[in-house]
Amino acid sequence: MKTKVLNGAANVGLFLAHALELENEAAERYEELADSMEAHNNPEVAKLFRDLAGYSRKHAAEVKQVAAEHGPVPKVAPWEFQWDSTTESPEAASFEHAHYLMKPHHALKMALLSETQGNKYYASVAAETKDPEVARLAREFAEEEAGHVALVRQWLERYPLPKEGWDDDPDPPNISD
Amino acid sequence: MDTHLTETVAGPEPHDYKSDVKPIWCPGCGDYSVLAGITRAMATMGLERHNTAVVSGIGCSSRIPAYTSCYGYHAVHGRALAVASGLKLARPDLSVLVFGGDGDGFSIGGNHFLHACRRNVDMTYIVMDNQVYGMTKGQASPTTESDWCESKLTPEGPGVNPIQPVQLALACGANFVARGFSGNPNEVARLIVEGVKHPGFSVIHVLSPCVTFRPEQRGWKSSVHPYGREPTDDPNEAMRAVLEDDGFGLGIFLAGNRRPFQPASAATRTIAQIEEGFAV
Amino acid sequence: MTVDSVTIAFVGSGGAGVMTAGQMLLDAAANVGWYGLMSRSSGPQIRGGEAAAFVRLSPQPVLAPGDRFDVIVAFDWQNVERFAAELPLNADSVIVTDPSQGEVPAVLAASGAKQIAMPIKELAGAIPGGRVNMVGLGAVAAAIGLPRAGIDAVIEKALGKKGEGALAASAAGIDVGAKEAKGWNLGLELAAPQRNGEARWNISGNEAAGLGALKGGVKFCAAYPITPATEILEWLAPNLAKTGGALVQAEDELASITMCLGASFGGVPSITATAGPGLSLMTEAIGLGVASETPVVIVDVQRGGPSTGIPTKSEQSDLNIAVYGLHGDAPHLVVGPTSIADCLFTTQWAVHLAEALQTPAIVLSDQAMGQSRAVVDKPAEAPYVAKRLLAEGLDGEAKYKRYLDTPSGVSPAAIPGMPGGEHTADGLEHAESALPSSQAADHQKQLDKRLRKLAGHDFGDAWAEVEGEGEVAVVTWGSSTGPAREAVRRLAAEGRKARLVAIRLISPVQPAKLAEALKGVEKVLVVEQTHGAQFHKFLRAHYDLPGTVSVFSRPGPLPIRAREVRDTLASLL
Repeated sequence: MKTKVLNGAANVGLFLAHALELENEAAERYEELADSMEAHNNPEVAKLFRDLAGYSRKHAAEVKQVAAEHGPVPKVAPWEFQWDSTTESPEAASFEHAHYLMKPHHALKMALLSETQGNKYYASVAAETKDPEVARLAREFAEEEAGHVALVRQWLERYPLPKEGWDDDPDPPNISD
Repeated sequence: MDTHLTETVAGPEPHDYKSDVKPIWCPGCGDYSVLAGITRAMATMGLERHNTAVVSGIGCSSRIPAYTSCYGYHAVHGRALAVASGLKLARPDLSVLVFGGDGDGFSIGGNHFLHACRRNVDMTYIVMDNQVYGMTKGQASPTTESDWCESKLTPEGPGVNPIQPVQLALACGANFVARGFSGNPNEVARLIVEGVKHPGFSVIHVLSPCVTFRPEQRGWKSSVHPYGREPTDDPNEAMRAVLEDDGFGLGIFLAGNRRPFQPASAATRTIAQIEEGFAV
Repeated sequence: MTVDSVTIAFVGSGGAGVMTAGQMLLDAAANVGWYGLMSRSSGPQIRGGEAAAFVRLSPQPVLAPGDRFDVIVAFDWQNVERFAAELPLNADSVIVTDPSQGEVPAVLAASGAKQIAMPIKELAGAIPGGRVNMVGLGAVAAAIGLPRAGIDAVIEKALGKKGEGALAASAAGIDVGAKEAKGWNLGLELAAPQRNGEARWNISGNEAAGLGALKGGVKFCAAYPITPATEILEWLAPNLAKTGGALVQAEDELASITMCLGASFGGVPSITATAGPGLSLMTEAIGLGVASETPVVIVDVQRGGPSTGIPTKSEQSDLNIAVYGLHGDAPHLVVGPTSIADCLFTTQWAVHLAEALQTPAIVLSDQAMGQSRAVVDKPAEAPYVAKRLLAEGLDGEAKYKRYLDTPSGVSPAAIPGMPGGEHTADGLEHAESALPSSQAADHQKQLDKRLRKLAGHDFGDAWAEVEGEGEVAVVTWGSSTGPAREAVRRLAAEGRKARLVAIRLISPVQPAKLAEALKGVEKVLVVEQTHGAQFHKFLRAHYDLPGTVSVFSRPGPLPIRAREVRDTLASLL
């Protein structure tokens, strides 16, 4: 049961498939995190993730537009994507770093990591590919991501590292079932 | 170059399989990723939502049915496999997936797990193992180390050896046995697809950390590693290999050849004919 | 000079063939056109244990075990003390005893019964391949005037496959026994059969329950064996398969009931059968059926309790757990067949009700009905089949609400396979949408709805069997109905009026109907087979009983006999 992995650097179709996955998963993940923050009564961070989701959705829409102009995009199973350093979409923020009491600083750190990974992915494809069209698109998307990274860095300046004790909760955990 | 060129016809997306209900799992819980893996698997397989049923017991991971948009049955603690077996046996036309945690599956559900493996009804069981009872505030489970002292119920540690779910599944006759890790949801998706496609009872053991009661499980991402072997169809060979596994090997251990259990259902008599047997 | 009823017992051990003799006697009587009732008793050994077969025959339908035995044929007296209390005798009784097996035990001889010596073992021994039970059967048949042809047909059917030798040996044994009985003149010739042109069946309560399930539309059964319910499952196994259904053996009762819930969630009418200990195990999952509104039928063949109790004997002491055994406010259906034949109707009705009202139904049978066989008039066809109210219009804009509050309380159900009806059924309290909810308004609404769907349902006349007239009434249920009915009819024959109300629908209660049935009654006699008068307390909790109330309540293992009820009633008249 060898799994094959399909490289986005190979051709435009595969590249677009990767880009779509990357942006859609990024947006989905930010939305999920926003939902989770809302469910845990952390509205400030929820809004942050919603905003980040918004940016990813915009980029996803752009990619979708490019894909539509390009023509049929190959159907790739989730595990067939080849990312450079992550096991799933590089821009999908990892739930692992979330905390119900997390502060905007933490959320932005997560976003910084995701957007940086996204940027690095596109840059690595641009470097690796032999296809000029892929190279062009990859550079363009890398630029976009770089823009997101800068934006996140800006936001981070507004939210310095919280003092120790930010995760203190005097209440013990709750049983619900 | 191996690609599957298709028209950009809208196939189902993972979010098509998600309901509007927002999960209440603690942020950081591995189950979010497992849910992502589940919905990705369903989208990849193009399962019809109205012909798919997800069954669960009680516990954090058992909340999954409400987070999907298929038919679901949220049963009582430990009985998910029995409910799912009855459903699949009576409605073999449905795709049946079962979800639960290590407590639901291996403690109160232990007997049903044993017999589900043995009975080999065609369905797929995804166990999210965080080696703790999360929902009831952090007690040891049957997969918890014997010297874990963080539970008020067993402050000296359970003092009892944990069971090894993958070994148990193999010993009891499950036809497909695999292990995944919530840190790699795409791989979990792949294992689920393989499990669902594989006939008979498929067990997918997913290590899924509990961020609230076992924060040290963040370290699992450093412990997991590929199992390193190709899946075999020989249960004995799989068992021999698994006995050397450290509990963190990821991959498919067994893709066996047992025939699934499904009683035949063609009518050959009418009730009137049967009643004649009582006539004096 | 003939009698209207004759009650016979065969007693013996270690391969004497007591059960076979009883079965053959019943079957032969049926062939000839008599009605009959047979029950059995045995020691705990798997083979070779002491055994007794009790058979009562009559030209009229037999409602209950006889008050006392007319004839006991004993092949030996091993461990007979075990049955002594189940062998009521008096001076009019006859004990046929084999001198080679020792004296008649004092506990039976003390009755003053007439003793007839018959060297059964010797007689059987003289026939090649001869068996004592055939000799005994031949004697009894002759004594009651059972035509030989009836027996021959039975032997042919039972032993035909074993070859000429076996047939000849059996026939010879019957001959020898009949010859011995010729001179007895016991005055036990049974009155001529009355053929009414109706078809008749030879059936046990457990078989009847299985057939009722089939007729109701059951297509799935998950089974775990337990005495005395196993025969229901064993009967269903091949017969479900023949009708396109399936029976699966589960690993325990917890799996049985939950598998049935799963199958039922898939839209397939499902049933399981168990006894008291199994019902105790199932209560959590039955509650899940109530909360998730999943139909399911559970037959409980009651036996002596509590705990392991007396597995092979009857009692009516699971009433409390059937009605009250679920945690929370969890109204559900409980019904009790009133006779062996009624096991068919009541189980079929339970399947229909469970599906119509989307809730679990417990059928309280018991060992006396379940494991006894009777020759009865073929039960009438009943119009009750499984029909679940299904959701429609699922392709619209509105999101489907599985637990929609409706005037009747029954919500249209979506079954997996119906597009647009996707939902997660839940044991957690929920909103109409099925999403879990801890809100007061949702809990109130769902509790009201689940109660209303039962309380508001029109159960019709099947809620009870009511007969007779007068100011004294017996109120009873289950297998106590048989002796109570016989008692009421005997008194009526003497010109003394009494009513019988045998309640079939235990839960939900029907106060208006019982009040109507008891209009004008000044004295009530409650009859039940429990130690703690569970049924009486249940009636007091939920019904207003008129006048003065007396209670005849005795636990198993001894059957309640018609004479006991008759005498108690007579003292009230």
